[in-house]
Amino acid sequence: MPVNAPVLFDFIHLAPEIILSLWGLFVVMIDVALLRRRSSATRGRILGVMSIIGALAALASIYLPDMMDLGHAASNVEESLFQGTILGGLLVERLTALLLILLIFVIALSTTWDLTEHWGEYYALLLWATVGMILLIASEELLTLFLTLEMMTICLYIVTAFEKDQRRSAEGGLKYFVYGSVSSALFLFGLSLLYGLTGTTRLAAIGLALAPAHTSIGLVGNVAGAMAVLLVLVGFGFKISAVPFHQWAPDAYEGAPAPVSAWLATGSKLASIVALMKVLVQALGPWAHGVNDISSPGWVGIVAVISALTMTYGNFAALAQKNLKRMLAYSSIAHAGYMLVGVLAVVVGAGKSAAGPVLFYLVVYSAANIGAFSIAAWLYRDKGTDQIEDLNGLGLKYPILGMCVLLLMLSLIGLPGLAGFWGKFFMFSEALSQGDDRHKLTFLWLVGLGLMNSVISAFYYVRVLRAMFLRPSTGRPLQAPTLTIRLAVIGSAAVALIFGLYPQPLSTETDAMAESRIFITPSRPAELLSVSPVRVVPRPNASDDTRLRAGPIGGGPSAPPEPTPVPDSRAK
Amino acid sequence: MIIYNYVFIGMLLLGAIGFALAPVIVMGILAPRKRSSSKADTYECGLLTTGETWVRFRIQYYIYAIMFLVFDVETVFLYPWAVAYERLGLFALAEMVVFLLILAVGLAYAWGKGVLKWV
Amino acid sequence: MAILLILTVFLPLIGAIVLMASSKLDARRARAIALGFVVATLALSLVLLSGFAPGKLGPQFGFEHGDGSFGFPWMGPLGVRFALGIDGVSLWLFVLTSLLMITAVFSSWESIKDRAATHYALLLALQTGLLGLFASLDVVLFYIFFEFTLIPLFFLIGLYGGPERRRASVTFFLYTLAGSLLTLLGVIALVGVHYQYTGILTFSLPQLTSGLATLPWDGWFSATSWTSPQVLIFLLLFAGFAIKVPMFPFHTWLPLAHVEAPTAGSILLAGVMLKVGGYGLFRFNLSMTPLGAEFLFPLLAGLSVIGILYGALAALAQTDVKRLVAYSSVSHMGFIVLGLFSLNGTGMDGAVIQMLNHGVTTGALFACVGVVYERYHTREMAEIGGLWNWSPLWAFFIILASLGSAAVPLLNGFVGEFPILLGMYRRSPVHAVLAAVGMVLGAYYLLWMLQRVVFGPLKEPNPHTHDAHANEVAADAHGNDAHGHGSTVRPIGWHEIAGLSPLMVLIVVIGVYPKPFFDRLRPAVTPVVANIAAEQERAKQVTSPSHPLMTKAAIPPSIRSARPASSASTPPPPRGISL
Repeated sequence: MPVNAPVLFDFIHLAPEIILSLWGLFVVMIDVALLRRRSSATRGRILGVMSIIGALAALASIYLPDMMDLGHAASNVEESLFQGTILGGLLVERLTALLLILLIFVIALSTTWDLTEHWGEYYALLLWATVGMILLIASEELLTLFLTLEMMTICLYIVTAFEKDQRRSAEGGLKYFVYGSVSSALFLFGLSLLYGLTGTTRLAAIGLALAPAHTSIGLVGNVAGAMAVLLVLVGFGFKISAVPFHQWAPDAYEGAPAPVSAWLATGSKLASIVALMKVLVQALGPWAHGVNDISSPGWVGIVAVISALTMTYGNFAALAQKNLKRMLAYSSIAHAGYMLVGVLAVVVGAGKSAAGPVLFYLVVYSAANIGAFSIAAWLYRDKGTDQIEDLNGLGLKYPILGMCVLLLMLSLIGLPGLAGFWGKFFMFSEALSQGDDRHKLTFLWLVGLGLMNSVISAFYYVRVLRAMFLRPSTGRPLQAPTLTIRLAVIGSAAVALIFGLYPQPLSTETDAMAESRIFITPSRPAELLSVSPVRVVPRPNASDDTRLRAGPIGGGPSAPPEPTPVPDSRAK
Repeated sequence: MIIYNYVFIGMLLLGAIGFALAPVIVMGILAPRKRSSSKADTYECGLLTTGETWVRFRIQYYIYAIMFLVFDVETVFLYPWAVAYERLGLFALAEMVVFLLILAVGLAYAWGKGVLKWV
Repeated sequence: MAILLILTVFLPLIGAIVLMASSKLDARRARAIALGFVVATLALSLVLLSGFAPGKLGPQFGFEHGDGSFGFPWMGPLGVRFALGIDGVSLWLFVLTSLLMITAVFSSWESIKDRAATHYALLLALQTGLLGLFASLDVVLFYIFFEFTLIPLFFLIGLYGGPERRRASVTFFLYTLAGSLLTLLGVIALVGVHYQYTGILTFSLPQLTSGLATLPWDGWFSATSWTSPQVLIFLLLFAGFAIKVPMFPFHTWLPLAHVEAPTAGSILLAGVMLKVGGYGLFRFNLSMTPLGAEFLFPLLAGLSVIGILYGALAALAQTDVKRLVAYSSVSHMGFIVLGLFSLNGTGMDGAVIQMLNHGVTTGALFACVGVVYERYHTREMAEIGGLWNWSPLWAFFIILASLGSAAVPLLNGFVGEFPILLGMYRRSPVHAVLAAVGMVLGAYYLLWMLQRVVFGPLKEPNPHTHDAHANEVAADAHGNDAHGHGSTVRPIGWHEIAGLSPLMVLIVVIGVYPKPFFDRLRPAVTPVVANIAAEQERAKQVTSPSHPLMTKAAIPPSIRSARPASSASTPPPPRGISL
């Protein structure tokens, strides 16, 4: 089999990833070679600055293709790179930029206290985890998806356990690792089933293979398909910490050093949700639900239940928390539940516009979490703990930061006039407007539940405010925050406020991102199939694929002329 | 058709198992039996063991093993590449160089961390 | 003038930011700055009042465009606009807010020493929230201001309140937030219904009101069951506003919040915040879903009457003056809601003017209680008495406010409650009679309170046994039980007089000559009443069978992909409705 050398230009589109990977190596080597004799704190600071420089370089390199005036000439099919395994274009570029900005804040927060002596490895792992995230967002086929997902999580397992003298850090890391590896195994099994059923690993090609005319057929009587969907959902459910795959999250978030928790809550979740959205919409779309009936067997029902469970459980569990990071972990579980509602809207509506609000929500949510975890980092530096009661009196002593945290918490609740409100507003109204009347009942109760949950969430967010503003300070006094903490908190509050008062620029941007990549129907199916990296073996006996193709066919793009991959769910 | 293929596999399987079992059975039948206490002892490299077998090993063994494994697997990767090199062309050469360089950085890192020094 | 309105709304916010930025400022300077901003705002409000054309229909000062939209585009694709403007109903509440702020600032003049700058900043921020709320012509803007008012009040109660302040502020915050989210759902439903049947996506209050009144959908005008669209949306909207008012079963947050709030907070809470509920009911429930009110009338009127009687009886049982006034608010707000739900012009006129009256009298009562509490550190009626002897002027103030509140003729309460009862009588005599009983009870507990606190021999608690306050040094030196005559307690100060006297003037003026007030608010009330009649007429014509829930309830269509209202020239046919 001849290997087509990828067009060299494709590498230019991968410049951020390449720079980050190499820079990770570079940072490690500098740490080992040049800074051996320095104290831990000095090394942390020097390497932190270096890592930020690397991230900035990667950030600049996103625009390299534009600067070199390559445009998208190199890309062949719909901005896809490397024979369609990796996606380029606006969506990936913007999300990469967002991830890198978040990464810069995470790295900056890491210097708050001396959390480890192995600084080189720490920063390198953060950088490499970011490479995994970026590629995960960009991956267009199952193998790349799995590899990048693992690249991201394996790096995160290690950094979670990085504060070695803290028992809880090791515990969190171990739990994360054990749960993560089991779910990865299940996920991989699900992917292999998908490959077995469709004969391809390309997301779009899977979607075509499952329903050539792109009609929803659901999972009626399709045991193998249901199994594959369930296993894929287990894998993603773990990554986005959806109930019932969430158990690792509170321990990992609490145990990990605060910057790492921030990175778990923002970068990892962001990348996983986008990837989930792609897999569900592009590949598994035909299995969403039966023809014109959302409640017939299909994964929409499963995801709706998961979403409802996730937001409700997350919020109720957060009510009982005393530790700030643990509370934020449960709150991030709850937010994953809200976002799943948006993901469902994308699927059911088959609309590109519906993906915009989810991306909007992700941006707003990530910004707010960076700010919240930087407060946790500050507490931990000065008090050695990060309980909510350690916040006592903080708002009065540091009024400006207090105001910023106030804005963040209110934005997370979803109070109008702040960005979190618009996130929920756009997402929920999009969910309510999707589909025809029969779909609306499902969304109506999901959205109603979401609003109820917003009220419940107010209880624990307000507890933070009460501690900060209404209680006198207790325990060891807080020292002045570092510049990085100030910047992170003020920056994220500014995001919440500015996009709260004027959300239009961001929502236009996220809509454009969502539309730049067609989330659902590949316009040139034949071409997509022919460049599939996995060879499609035509099978002679196509007797039992009628079941999968049941339902009205028509209106969509015509079936590919090339060998049609035939579902093989009942191999003899 | 398919059944026919399985027959071959089954026969091969039986042959393989038989090949492994036969010497044991033959030995059991033919060999003379003389039991003594020294024959029942546990040996390690020809010497009698001392103390418990559940002793703690130095962590360096593990790191050493990992280092060994990395370069072992590298060789596994290099062989097919070398065989198919003619057809792969310059691009594959560049890729292999990048791969080796990254491994070299890993070795240098291990060196810098003092893994190669036995203390 | 339109610019002036925006300036008036945001002037206090500027003051709040100034004070927040200089939080180290001492109390003297801070209060002076705050007073400056408040007086300036009041002056601007009075200019607006004088420029308000009495007979004109529709909102004024609103940058009205030819196509019926107001203000400026804010969020383009959604059609949300930044639109401010006031009509007859909001006008009075707008001015009331500006006026009560003066009282609020003066009542914290001496009592707030710690973190004074923050306190005044919060007050000013609250003022912007309230002014903006009353002046909003866009539902999203309204909702933003609606929620924004929670934040300063949360801190006012939580930072400067009584011993139970933390619980009070958190309860208040969560309670109101919970209700307002349901209101949000109702608002989205309104916009969605309007969009689905007219093809015009608008968040503008006037456009929504007129659009929903003439909706080309018969199902909208059949309110025959609990699942009828108007009834459902009415209930969603009602949830938030009923908590704000508060209606009877939702009132539990109120006594706690009122008692624990500092005086300024109580004045604004009772004087203006409660009116937000009444205003919302008028602006949304009655203007947009009147048939829901019609259908639910037995429930709503029943709850109002229970609220009136329950509030009055609960007030009778109080020993704490502030609690008494708080429960009297529950009772009086019941009147306002009752007047609104009478659904005729007389009752609604009365309800709207009563919102103003109640703001004035309750504000004055809380301010009077605050004056006493500041000096004696108690509000127990058993511990204080005969305060006429301490300060006849103060006694005059509280007596006048109480009489106004008890609806004595020629004072303001009468002007409001009489039309309410009259309007209600026309509609349902039973409810009117029961409410009248509540009115009698109201007079009873207020006079009873006056008798114990104002008249009789002077009874002052020893300030020393309570919190040793810096102001009480003189009294402290006096030492022993201060029975008998000749109080040593600081007399009523100029600032307190200045804060209370405008309210007293209003109590009398409204009572004696209410015509200018009615003249201005009637043009805003009349269309609503006319619309109610029209919708009732149309409801009779609609003989359509019941619709399945899903097609008529709260489903906004694709909002984000829609065009803004102004560009909609030809409305597309109604979309995707299966009956």
